[in-house]
Amino acid sequence: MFEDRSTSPDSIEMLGVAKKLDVELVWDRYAAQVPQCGFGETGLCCRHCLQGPCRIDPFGNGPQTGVCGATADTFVARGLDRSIAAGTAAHSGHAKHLAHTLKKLATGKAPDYSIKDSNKLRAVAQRQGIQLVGKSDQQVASELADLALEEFSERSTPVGWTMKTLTTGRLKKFEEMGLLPFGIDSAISEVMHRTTNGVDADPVNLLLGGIKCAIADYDGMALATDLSDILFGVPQPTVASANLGTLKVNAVNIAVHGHNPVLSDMVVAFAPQMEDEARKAGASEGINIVGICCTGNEVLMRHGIPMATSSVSQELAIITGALDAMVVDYQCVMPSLTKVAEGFHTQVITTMGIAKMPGATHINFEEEHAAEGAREIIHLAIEAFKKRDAAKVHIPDIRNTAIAGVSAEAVIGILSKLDAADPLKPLIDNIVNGNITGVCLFAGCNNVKIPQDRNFVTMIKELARRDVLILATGCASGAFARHGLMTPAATEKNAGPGLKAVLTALGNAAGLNAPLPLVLHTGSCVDNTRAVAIAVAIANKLGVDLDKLPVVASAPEASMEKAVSIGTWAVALGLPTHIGVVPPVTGSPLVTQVLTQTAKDLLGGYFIVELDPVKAAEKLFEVMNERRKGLGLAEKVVA
Amino acid sequence: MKHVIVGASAAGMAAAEAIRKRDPGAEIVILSNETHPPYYRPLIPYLIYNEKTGEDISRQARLTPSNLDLRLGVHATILDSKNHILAFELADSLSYDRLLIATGASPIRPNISGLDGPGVFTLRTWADAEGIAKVAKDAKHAVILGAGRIGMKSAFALRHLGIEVSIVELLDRIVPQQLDEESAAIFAHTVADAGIKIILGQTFKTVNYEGKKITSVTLNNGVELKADLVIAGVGVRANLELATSGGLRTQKGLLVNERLQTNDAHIFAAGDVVETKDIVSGDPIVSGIWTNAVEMGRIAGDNMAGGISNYNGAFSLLNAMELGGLPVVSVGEVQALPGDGVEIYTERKGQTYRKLVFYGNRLIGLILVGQIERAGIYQILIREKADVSALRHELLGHRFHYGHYLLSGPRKADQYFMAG
Amino acid sequence: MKRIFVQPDLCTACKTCEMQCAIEHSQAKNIFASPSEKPHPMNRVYVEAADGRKIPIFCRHCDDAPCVAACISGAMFRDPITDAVMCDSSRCIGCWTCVMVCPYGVIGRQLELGKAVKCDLCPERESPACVDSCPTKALVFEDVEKFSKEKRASFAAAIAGG
Repeated sequence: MFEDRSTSPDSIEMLGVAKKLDVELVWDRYAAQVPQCGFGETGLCCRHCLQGPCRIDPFGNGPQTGVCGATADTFVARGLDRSIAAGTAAHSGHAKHLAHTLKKLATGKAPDYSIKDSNKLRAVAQRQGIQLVGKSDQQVASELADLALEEFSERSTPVGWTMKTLTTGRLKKFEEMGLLPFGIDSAISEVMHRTTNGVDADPVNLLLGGIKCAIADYDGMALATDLSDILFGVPQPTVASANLGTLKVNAVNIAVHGHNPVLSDMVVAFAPQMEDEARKAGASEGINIVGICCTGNEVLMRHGIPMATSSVSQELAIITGALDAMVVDYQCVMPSLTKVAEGFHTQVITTMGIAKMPGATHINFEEEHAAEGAREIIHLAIEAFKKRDAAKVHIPDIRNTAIAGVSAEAVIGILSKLDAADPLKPLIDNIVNGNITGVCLFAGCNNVKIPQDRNFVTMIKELARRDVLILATGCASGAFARHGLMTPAATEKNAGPGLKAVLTALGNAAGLNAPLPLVLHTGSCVDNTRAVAIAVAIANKLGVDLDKLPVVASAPEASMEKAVSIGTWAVALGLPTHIGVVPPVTGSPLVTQVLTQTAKDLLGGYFIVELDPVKAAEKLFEVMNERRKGLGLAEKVVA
Repeated sequence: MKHVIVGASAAGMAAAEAIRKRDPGAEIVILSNETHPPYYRPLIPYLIYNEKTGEDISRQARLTPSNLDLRLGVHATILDSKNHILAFELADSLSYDRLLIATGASPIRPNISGLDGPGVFTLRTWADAEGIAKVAKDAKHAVILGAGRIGMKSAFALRHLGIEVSIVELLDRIVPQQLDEESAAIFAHTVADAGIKIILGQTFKTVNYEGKKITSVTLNNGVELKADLVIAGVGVRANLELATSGGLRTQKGLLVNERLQTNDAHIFAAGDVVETKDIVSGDPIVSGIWTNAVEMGRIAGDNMAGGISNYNGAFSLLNAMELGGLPVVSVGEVQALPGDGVEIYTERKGQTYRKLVFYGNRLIGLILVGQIERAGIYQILIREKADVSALRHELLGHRFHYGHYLLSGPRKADQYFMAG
Repeated sequence: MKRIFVQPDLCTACKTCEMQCAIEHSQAKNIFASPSEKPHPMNRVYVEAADGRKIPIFCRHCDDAPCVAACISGAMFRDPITDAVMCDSSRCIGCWTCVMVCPYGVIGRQLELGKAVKCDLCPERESPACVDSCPTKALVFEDVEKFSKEKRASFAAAIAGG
């Protein structure tokens, strides 16, 4: 009955409960917004100065310029640029938070953190040009943190992580086109400058400015993933579970929601110390931490914490009546949570000074006192558990197994079991021989406009059938986990013969005695550069640039500005990038054309906008074949 | 052409307007047995507590056709249909070319001891309301027989005057024609909040007097209720005397064809006096609804003036009202029981309630309490006997609007989107 | 006799018409002050969506207006000059019979006053606020007779009465 809202069975069950309880959810609020304003939908509304707001009539009967004279092309390009800047800022904030944490750790100010992966610390530091000889991990960490923090400000040279992690060809192209940012925050600031009234009015120049900012976004994300791995460990394959059925009746259920492991990892780390208190409060199964959204991915891939649900369905976790605390940091956290929680005992706990919410309990989480903060949060959850109303508890009996934590290092690790000397060879061989058509990275959010997970699930089945190797991050991986697609069984059921053979060989090599899961979980949404690292390795090995590889990306249910910036850098890196919603650019045919066509000539990558998931999969398959052809490989034919 | 209309309420005035529209030069004589000028009958409860004046409830000039020969206080008693002559109570008479019988209906007074005595009122006319107002000035306790619309309206009016009001209803819920159990339960609260006492499953045994003054009412169960004012609101009966005198065919009401013509081709009928058919079920009904009377009057008037208009029947239930600040709309077959192709959808949230009655692929009944926005589109679907199978999801939702209705019929949508 | 004509395919659902309608029917008649007024100014024109299409829904000022026929208090009437269907607030008793019979669902309820509200074609203006404010000219205010047949064919919701 809720098929227009979600295809995830646990969500559907909870939607029924929510309806019965008359709780207003994101889908209801969306329905109340429909029809949405066409000027906003097409990008033809500008509010960048106080002479506005201005609108341009897409039909040509009304005004064709804003008060300042800006045209539809300028409106749309400026608007898109600001979205990219906002997305970049979000990742920048996330990355900076990690850099500060590393610095505090290195200077002894954050005693509850430690360097979890010394190898990665040293590898990253070395790659970024830090001398390692004779230095302790702590010293290296301190220097790396300084180097990381420098990335954000205005530098005299291009941003370092980008320069050290991409192909030479790509970097050369960026340099020629003037796309190399000289600092992450400076790139954001530049976009804000050039998009304000009376600066850049040239739509193509504006788009190049947006791309430059998106490359800064790539830089911040690559940095964030590196530092997360150093601080919290490089993810390794781990068997966990997903869906709202991972909440437990007899446990204190704590959901960590948001994005940064700086908080969630500590909650996970200190929960065992509080088990007794939880049991004393009557929770016979102690403390049960579950993840929501990308913070969920972070603790899933490193600690096997169950993935309860994703961003669009976050409110449903509260509706179960069994969630004692929802602990959030930042990004994709709906301000409605406290309103939904009014009807339940759930404590909504905000933790970040920049991300508070009326009606929530705020516990300011500081890295200097992480243990204290984590304990206080867990204590609040236990107190809330005591107030839980058993009559309101409704946990859907739906759980799926999910194998998570397939980082680039993990992929190489598995591959090296087939060929220790040349780990990439088995993968490349199978692409060359056509067992694998190509690689698709699924990323991005759920979007209330699309029945939750519909596009993800439809597309993956279409692509897997065509022997496409699937990687997933962020809410994409949440979707696949909740539908049982991150399992060997899903491979058996859905993979084409070539893909199945490869995943089976790899699975056996990894000692699974079963194929690898149909979807390789490569992390949270901030971790999209993990997939790039694999692609760059393949490209370097083949001696071609990224824009020649049969590698594509898809955000079929994108919704956040972060997805806009990620999509843009994916295009800049040379990836054909599918999005399953129409971005607010169609008011400018010129901008639309640059993004979907001209970009291909300039960068190799380009946007593919396709709302129909079956057609989208077909298009991506065609693109991979085109790339195969370009590499002189046989085109894949699928019945 | 000389048109004579008997009855100057909803049907009569609508007919006059329709005649005037089609035939600007026609002679129109309109007779009323009331001495008050034409007025809006549903507003008379406001006279009881002086919320409105006679002026406020009178039909304004802007809604009255020009050049009407309006004669008040005239009782037409005998119809000589052979000679096209109408005779009055006081020995006068009038000839006609076309006659409209819009004599309406009169309240029923059940055969209960004392119910025909002084101090017992019905509420049908302006004069009735004035009578109640006069007695109500000194009344402390009022008992009302019947919890229908009239009973409820009277009760609220008397409460405005601070009178203790009890309503005695034979059935198991208030406003039983218009509400089902659930919605009646919602309104029971509203009514109780207004300080009105409801006694269900009872009727009067006697109305008791001391001399000419009412002292109390005794119920069937023996309970005695203090009273110095009694109102009976238990329904109406068509005023068929005039029609019968002219040899016109009647059953429960005056029988008419689709053009609202009686068995005498020169005589038409409209309003509460007519027996028509239920638009949903097709069963014969005598409608007591203002809105239906206006529509009948308009069609009868048009036909009298030479037009060809058809009347497709009335909703036996088509009512909107607000009681104690809570609105309700009831249309069509709201009392149907599930089974035999009937499906019922209900939804209750606090004081909001929605009931949709489906029969096969049709919507046949509707109750909306609280949120009644856009009820008219549901009403049209019922009236048109539209196939609503494609609209089911939207109908059950809270945002059903004209756009959904529009897109459900390709022709309608094409017309609307001609530009595309 | 002028009427509002709608060209739905030009509608972007920006809802400027709804907002300007409410402002026009407020006391202050300006966007900054009107929203805080009591009673709340209400719009009488609506933009809805169905099937992904944007659908402006306006009062047609019907020839045989069901709201006028059904009104039990004489509040609904046809203006003799503009021929528009109007609601006389002073007469309205809030029985909502008009809401029950309007097939377009364009009669609103002003709850604070207990009165029905509907499009009055902005009698104090040369052309209605919604039409004047429509940024894509999806709305036009034209004389029904003058409005050429061809042009009308391209406009939807041709208003009854022409």
